[in-house]
Amino acid sequence: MGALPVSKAMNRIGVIYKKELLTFFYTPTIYVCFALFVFFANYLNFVLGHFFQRNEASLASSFFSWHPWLYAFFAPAISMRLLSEEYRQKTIELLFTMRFQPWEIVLGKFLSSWTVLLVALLLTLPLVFTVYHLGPPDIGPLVSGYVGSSLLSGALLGVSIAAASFSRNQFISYILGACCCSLILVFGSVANMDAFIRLFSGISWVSEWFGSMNSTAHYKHFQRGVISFSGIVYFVSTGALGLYVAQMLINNKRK
Amino acid sequence: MITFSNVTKRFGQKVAVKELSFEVKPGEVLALLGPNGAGKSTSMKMLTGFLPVSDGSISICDFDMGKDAGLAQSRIGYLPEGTPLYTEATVTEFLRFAAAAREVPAKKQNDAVLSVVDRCGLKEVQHQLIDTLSKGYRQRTCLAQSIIHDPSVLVLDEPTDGLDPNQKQDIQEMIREMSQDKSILLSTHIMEEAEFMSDRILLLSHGSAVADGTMEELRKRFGDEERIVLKLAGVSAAEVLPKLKAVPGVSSIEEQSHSGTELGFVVSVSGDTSNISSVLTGIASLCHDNSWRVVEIKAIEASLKDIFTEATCG
Repeated sequence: MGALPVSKAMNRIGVIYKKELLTFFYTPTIYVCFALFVFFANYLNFVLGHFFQRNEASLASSFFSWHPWLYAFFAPAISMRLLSEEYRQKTIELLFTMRFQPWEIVLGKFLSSWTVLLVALLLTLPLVFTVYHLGPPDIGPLVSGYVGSSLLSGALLGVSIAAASFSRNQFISYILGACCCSLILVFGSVANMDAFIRLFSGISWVSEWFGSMNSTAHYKHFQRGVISFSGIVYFVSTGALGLYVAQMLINNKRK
Repeated sequence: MITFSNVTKRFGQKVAVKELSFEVKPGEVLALLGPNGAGKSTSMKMLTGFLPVSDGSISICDFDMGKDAGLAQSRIGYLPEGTPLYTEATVTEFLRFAAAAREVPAKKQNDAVLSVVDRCGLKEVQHQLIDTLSKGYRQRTCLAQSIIHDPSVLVLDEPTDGLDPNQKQDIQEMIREMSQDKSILLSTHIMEEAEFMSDRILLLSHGSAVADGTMEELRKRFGDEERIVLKLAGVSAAEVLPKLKAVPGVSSIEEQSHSGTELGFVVSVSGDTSNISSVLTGIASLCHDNSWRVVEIKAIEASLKDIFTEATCG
């Protein structure tokens, strides 16, 4: 008996995942990215976040609050070569003729680059030990902070992959990805955006919908120690929407 | 094995392939031959499922590419134009990926890789990064990925493009060897290569088939004039020409540039190609009867180049 279609699709996603992960760890760029991520995470925490001046055994304000901006620049850096390299080396033709569906290619690539971002995030774990050195921290916000940060990285990565599939040029992919991620972070979090949302106050559901698109508000729940269901749904659906757009674009490109 | 039925491909207003129909039988090698932009690569991309057809249908081993794309694709091995490869991987890593992507059972993947490494002569470079390989080895690596799942149908887009003569010969022999148990469709713009590697030739021009047949059939159809080259020594053109014209079957005679005491003629023979032997015998007897010193006498068949020009330029 043959394998079920879902199991076959999972296997094919696994093949792409493994290939991409190997490619990531073979290229020196990824180690530079890791080093820069850890450097900036620490710099933002200790210097701009005033970690020691706060005299708190907590990473909520000094560390996790900077993560949205870290990902806004690192997620496009990780994703910019994912599709442009396939087009440059013309291997996209090989993939399509090897029976890979566009969504399998996109999902496999997303999972491998998300793994890379999660490894980068894990490299910041020594900071937790620093907190322990200052005093016993509240474990809840620490765990939820890391969970929120992981989910946020996935959402912004999905958006970056969608941006990367617009162009075959790595540089344009990066700029477009960084701009889209920044827009999502800015949306609803500055006074001008609030004024924009208030424009729709007459139509309550539109206003509510715009209000719920505020990514930083969702992320703040996790910073405070709450693993919110709406936050999970928001980050997962944002990432999924990005991946849907990406697979649609690469499928359209071959026609 | 491969059936193209009235296939058309349009890119916006531009028609790249127009109502193309052909078949490739098991164990047959068909060469798509045509100038750049004739629609060879587009046809291959539709055949492998990379591009959807605008009209018509393609079937591989009785599986329709539109309805059962997955099943049809699993029967195809494809060598795309320009040998696309993951240059940051080693040859073995890339072939392992190809085996897994082609759904070769996990337990058999290692054997499949070893088998194609051996078959394509990649043993000495199997642990080398693809980025550091020569063009010939890259072509072999790409060919190896196309046969790793032992497909019934092989689609090779310009398989010897950019290779040196020795590498070309290696690849050509490899393709000839594989043709024993597979249907092969290859594209090329090198006419001698098409003649050497294929059983049948399909000439394409502006997206349409202009001729389809064996080399012999194409010669009969397009090479309507057979020619005989005759070189004589110690004679004058005035003496030879009237007598040559009187030989039955000779349609025209062209005098070639001569060196020293030698005179050259190209005699065109009209009608059936079997006529050429009787004309050749007639000319040989004429030379003997007149005691002309023959330096060279030979029949020339219409070359594929002549056929190509005749078919694609009208």
